[in-house]
Amino acid sequence: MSSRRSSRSRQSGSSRISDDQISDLVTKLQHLIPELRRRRSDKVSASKVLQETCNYIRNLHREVDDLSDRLSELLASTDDDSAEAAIIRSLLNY
Amino acid sequence: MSSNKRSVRYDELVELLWRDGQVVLQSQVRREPSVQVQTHKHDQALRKPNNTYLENQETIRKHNENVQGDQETVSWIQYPPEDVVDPFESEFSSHFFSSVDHLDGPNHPKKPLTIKEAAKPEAKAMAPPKFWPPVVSVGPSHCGSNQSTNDHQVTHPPVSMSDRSKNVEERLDTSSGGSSGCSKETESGRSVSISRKRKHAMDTDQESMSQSDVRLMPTDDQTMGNKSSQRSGSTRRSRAAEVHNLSERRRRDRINERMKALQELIPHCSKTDKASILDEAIDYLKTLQMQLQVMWMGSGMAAAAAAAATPMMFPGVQSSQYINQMAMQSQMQMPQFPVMNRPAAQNHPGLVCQNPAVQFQMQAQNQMLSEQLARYMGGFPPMPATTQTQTVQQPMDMMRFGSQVGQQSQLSTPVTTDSLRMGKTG
Repeated sequence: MSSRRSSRSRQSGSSRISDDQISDLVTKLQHLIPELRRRRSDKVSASKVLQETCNYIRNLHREVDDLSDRLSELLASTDDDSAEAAIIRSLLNY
Repeated sequence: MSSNKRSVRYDELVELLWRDGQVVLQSQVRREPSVQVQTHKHDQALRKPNNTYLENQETIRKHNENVQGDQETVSWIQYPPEDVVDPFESEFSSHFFSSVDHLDGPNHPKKPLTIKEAAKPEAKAMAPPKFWPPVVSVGPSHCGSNQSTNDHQVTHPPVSMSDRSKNVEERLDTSSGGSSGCSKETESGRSVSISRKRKHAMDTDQESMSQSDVRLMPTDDQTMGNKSSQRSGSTRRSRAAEVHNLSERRRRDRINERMKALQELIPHCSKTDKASILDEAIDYLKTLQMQLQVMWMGSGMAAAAAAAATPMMFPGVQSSQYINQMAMQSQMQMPQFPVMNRPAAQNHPGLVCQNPAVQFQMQAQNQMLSEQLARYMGGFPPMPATTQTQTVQQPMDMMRFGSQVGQQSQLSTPVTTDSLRMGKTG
């Protein structure tokens, strides 16, 4: 990133390290996101990675909520003292 | 009060004469046009005689321009700060102001002299200037520096110059933009050049601050051809730098705002620095993905169990199909799913959210899940064996995640006759 270059020249060595670190973390994050993982290019901008991360997290949240609802439904349909109920409850409280 | 200062060479001092209520600079170099130009600008300014400041300025101007002939009348710039005067003033006015403030008498050769030395003479006929408040304020700061610098007006400390430049910059459209992006030195250089140009000191070194020139001089033609080219070059450059800075800033702002949004999404995130936020985001993402995997498995199992639990009178094929589906979904190799379902051997983490396909990342997790499922299966209510026979087989396969599932299952034996058994058969 250009900011990395400029900060390198301007700031101390510590900032230089963190800039690389940050870029590393952004790459790692990119690998976790299925949409961006496909691209596999180094040119994905940090801004895009961050945006996709936020979207992905929101999707995951929604999915968790859906699954929780489903599990609670399933729980209602089982015997309360059965093992599966226990499992479902543990899943819900995950 | 007319005083005859010692005449100086064009580079050094200019003789100041007070004539007809105006300070007249006498210098060797005669510069009509520049003087005229200057005069235009300055004409607007009030001509105030009896201004020592004027003298100083004049001398400096004369230096700069080298133009003033013997009888040149320098019209002092009255100026609103935005005027041409600024660049000019930035250079000299500082000295002037300081000197003016101190000067009581009409002529203080010393200051002008020093200034002259510093500045290239750009003789202009100017009416005694009125001190402009902004200029004046700047003056004292500059004064010392000015005096000290002999060489070039540019040598003024960048700070002081920048102050002046700022005045100038407001005026300058593009130049100001560029200058803001530029370093202080550039600005000071620019202001210096501006003043020069204003004086139209062709002979004096003229900076390439064409922008100021443009602004200052209504007639750019006066400036030399090279000046205009320099001007456009520097204008372009500073414009590009400015644009670059703006876009850079915009990009940074965008990233910062997305970081903030991410931080809000992450629960219990108390860090505010980028690296930590990114770190926590990565961990949180992995946690979420794992959680979803488990939940899918659990819900799949629960659904299967629920389906199996209800007495199914229809052929087991149906339920087995259903269970097959679950099995397919939970199996590690699921090539039919469009979403990057790679073999579990690969180390790709990540859960496909679009479908309940689950991919186990690690054997440990698989084992954990299989144990859970085994336990669940063990407690499963007995199902009619006859109808469930076929279904039993499939669930077993389904339950078998990888190879270890069966071994680790803790299924109790009573299950054998009933519903799903894990790892006991096949």
